[in-house]
Amino acid sequence: MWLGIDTTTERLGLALVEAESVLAAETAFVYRDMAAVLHPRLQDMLRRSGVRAAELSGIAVTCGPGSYTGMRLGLAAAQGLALVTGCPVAGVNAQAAIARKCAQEGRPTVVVSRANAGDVYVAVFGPDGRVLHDTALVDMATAAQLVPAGAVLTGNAAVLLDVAGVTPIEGDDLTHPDPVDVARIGMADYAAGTLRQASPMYLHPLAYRTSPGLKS
Amino acid sequence: MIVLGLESSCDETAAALVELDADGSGRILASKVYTQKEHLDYGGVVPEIAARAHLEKMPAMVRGCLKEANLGWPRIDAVAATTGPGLLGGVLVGTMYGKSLALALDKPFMPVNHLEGHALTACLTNGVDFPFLLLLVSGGHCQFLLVEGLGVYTTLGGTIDDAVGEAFDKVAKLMGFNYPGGPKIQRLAENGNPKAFNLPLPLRHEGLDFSFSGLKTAVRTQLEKAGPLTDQLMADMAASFQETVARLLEIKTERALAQTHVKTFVLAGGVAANTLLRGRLEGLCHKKGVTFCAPPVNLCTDNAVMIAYAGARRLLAGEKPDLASNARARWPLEELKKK
Repeated sequence: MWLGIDTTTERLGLALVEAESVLAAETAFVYRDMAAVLHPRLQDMLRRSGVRAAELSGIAVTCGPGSYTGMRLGLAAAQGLALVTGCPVAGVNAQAAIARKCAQEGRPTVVVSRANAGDVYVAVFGPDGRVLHDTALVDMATAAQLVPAGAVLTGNAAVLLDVAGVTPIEGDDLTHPDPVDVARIGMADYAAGTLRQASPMYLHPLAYRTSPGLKS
Repeated sequence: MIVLGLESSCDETAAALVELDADGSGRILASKVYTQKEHLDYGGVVPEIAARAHLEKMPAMVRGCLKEANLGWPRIDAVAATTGPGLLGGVLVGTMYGKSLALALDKPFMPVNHLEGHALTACLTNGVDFPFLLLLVSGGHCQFLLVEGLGVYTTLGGTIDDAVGEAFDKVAKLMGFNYPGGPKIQRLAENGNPKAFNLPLPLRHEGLDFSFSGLKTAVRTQLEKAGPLTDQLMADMAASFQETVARLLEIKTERALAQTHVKTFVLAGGVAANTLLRGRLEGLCHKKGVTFCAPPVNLCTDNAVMIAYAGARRLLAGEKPDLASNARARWPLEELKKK
């Protein structure tokens, strides 16, 4: 039994996945209530599914890209659960989860997500989900150059990109990760022995000045 | 009852285990504090850097406590965490972490106000009874509180600008010392003349509020006038500044004691580690026939013992746990429920 958690957008995604079956899944717009509602909703989901936290065999959690505060919420929650249950925690790239949802037979998928100051996060995945270009923080023009011909273009910043011959997929539910996909990617990585460390993707450089000339 | 407490509201990542008996007496079973060094190059605490460090270090603090107390998870009866006030990014990390531990253990989660933790510490460490007057002085706080019971707090006065500890740090920074420079002022002052500089005593004649920003400016202008910064000059200024703060705290504390008529005075917060200030306030209490208490220095600065203890006291008083509580950057003590 794997738990999938996503807190990288204004939506909270939670899912319980066992082998091929989905026991429970929900995605809700919670915005600033994320910290308040995550645990009551998770507790409720576990109870409804008749699952105890100790029975979890793994936790998959998105570790970005996204709001730093948002992804820390999910990561702290996952780490806390894992500390007691002793189960593994799989870090999942939120853009890989989005690509999994939008993938089309034989075509690569490009996920473009909003970042700050007109920049975007961009990642390219093969038809099988393999990473062709890992998530990077770039400007729009650079992102547009990374889109291969015939690609599926998605993500909440996809419509901002101007790429000849490629029409972005639109639809609100396509721009954020599905917690079931998050769980499935975590399970697959774990089974393949390629577990990604569950640490946040801090892609922006820190914009704080140091104080030079101080003596200690 | 054994409570695991978590603290992450500023730049200390901390966990602790406290056992509380039904009669209210308590024991510290374990305490781990990581003081973040990540801020040293920035001249102060950077909220984003603090939040990152809390996420990274909290698991080790919790594991360290279980090891120190030689306890297994089943022995823990509840989890408490600071849910405010403080730097929101850090508070959120501790809150989410604590809630997950409670959920996985199927035990209650108790949100704790960081200031209440400081306010109640002396009850655990010195067996102090209500009511008492509390002077909380640290890098982030500077206030007089009348503590009449669990959840019954009245703020009598506070700072209108900098906290005392902040003023110490900023004066140290003026002399070129790295953050946190406050403790260096005390060391420098040992070789200085406290009468060398004549500094103002802001708000000395009025109420119980403090103001330190003008005093800090006076330090700067007088240092600039005095010429090149020699070791002796810095020592003299440190001594004069420390003496001025001690005098201010004495004046205000005397006024607060006269106003409240309580028989117990508690000095808490990181600045309570300053031996001159501590000694002066102890002397004042002695003169007034008031009992003076100060928790051990390691429990005056931010820690999780006080969070575990405050959470335990509230649970023991019958307060309902709350897995749905949110983190708060601001959370005045007056908004707490009486128990």
